[in-house]
Amino acid sequence: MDTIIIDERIDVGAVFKKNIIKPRWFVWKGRKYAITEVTYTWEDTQGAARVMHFALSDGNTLFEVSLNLTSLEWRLEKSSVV
Amino acid sequence: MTRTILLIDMNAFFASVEQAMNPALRGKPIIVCGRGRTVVTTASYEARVFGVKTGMNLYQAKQACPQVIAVEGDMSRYIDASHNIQRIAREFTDQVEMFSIDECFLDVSKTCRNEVDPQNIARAIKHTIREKLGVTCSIGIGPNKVVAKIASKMQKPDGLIEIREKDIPVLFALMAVQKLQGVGVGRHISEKLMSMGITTAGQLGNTPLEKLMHHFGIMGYRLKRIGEGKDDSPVDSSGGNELIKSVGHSHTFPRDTRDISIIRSYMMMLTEKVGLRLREYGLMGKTVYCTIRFGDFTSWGAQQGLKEHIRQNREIFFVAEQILARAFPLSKAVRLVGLSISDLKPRDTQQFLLKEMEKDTTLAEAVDDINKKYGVFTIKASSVILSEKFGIRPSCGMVSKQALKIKV
Repeated sequence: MDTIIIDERIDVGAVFKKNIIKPRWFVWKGRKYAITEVTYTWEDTQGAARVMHFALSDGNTLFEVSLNLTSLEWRLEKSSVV
Repeated sequence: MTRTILLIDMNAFFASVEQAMNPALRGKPIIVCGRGRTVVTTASYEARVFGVKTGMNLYQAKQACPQVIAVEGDMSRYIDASHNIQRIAREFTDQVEMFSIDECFLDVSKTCRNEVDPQNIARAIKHTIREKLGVTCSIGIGPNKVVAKIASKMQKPDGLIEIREKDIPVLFALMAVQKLQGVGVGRHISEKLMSMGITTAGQLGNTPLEKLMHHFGIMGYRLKRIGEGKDDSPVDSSGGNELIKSVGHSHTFPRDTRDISIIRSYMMMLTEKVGLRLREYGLMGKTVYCTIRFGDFTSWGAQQGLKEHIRQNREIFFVAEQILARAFPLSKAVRLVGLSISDLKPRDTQQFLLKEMEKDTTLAEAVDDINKKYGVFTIKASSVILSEKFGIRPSCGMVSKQALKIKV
């Protein structure tokens, strides 16, 4: 499996509903990616900040996107293709 | 009083989490490896069919199964899944013990006294785990932890087996002693038992205690109890609040090296992690242990006892360096270094007579506060930079029970 580490700040459109965050799209390098499935979510910490991680699919590629719940910064962490 | 214990044993845990996360991996043979590493940490059940096993290297795995897909593991994902499994288990009982990252004991005796079938509890847990995490588990049910663990291993993947008290004599009479591996009868012990003519669990239970004590010392008593299917140990729901006996970390390098400056840098990095945890727990230690694993998987280890307890990074590293010097010159390339400190006691809160000593403590506490707030290694010794450049995985080494602890 080819995984590319990206680690770049991105803009994300997400729905916040009943304590659940569902990213719908994100823009990376000027291109908008529509998310077809949130396949997995998990949490960890960076220092004192809680960070939510989302595994997102656009139908072709799996992206790992994170949201720092202190700074509210979204980052595209990785992308991978089997 | 009859007890009812469940053991949740996650199936090919790391690989299952990766398959749950990535739809393209589901139903395919996959292996989970560390970053830049080729040793198989976990193989999916699809890969195991081809003979791929934990501990193989990537070449061997590819030989056994050419289509196997290697995936880089992420410990934060597995720790989070482990926390979620604990939360699910706590919906059924408050007596939950996280035994390891992928194994969890539950004492449901109180619930089962109200005519509740433990198999129904197990089915509900399995369903919830599958729904919430997308992974499967095997659950063993027994009158104690040893029997529950044996039951959990009898049907994999996605199994559910209950062994009742009355079934133990018949079942154990037929069960090979090798099947007791993982409940306190290791490979060497089972080999020794077989050489003594003890080939089944039932035979182990029927062997006179004196004979077992003669061959295995105090361990003989425990072996006899295992052979009888008896175990009084409670499900420890303190969540890692038990006495901390040692604090340690290890790190596998991205690639093997003989460069002493790199090895020293990793030891400094481990010192910072060990020191931080030691101070976090309010402890200080008197015995420092260093270990090295070479590229051929042979190991070297040595320890040093100290006259006084220590807790500052500078002090720990000073001792670690002295220990490490005994391993030089290196005969082989190194793949892992480890550091631990034991013989622990609560930190002294005495006022320091020497201004310099107080300065050290104040500085360490300030650095710890910054690193706790902004992330590990935000402020670090400059010598750690070398290991950072060589490659530090976000979560390294074994996962301690403290890391598996959740806030209830």
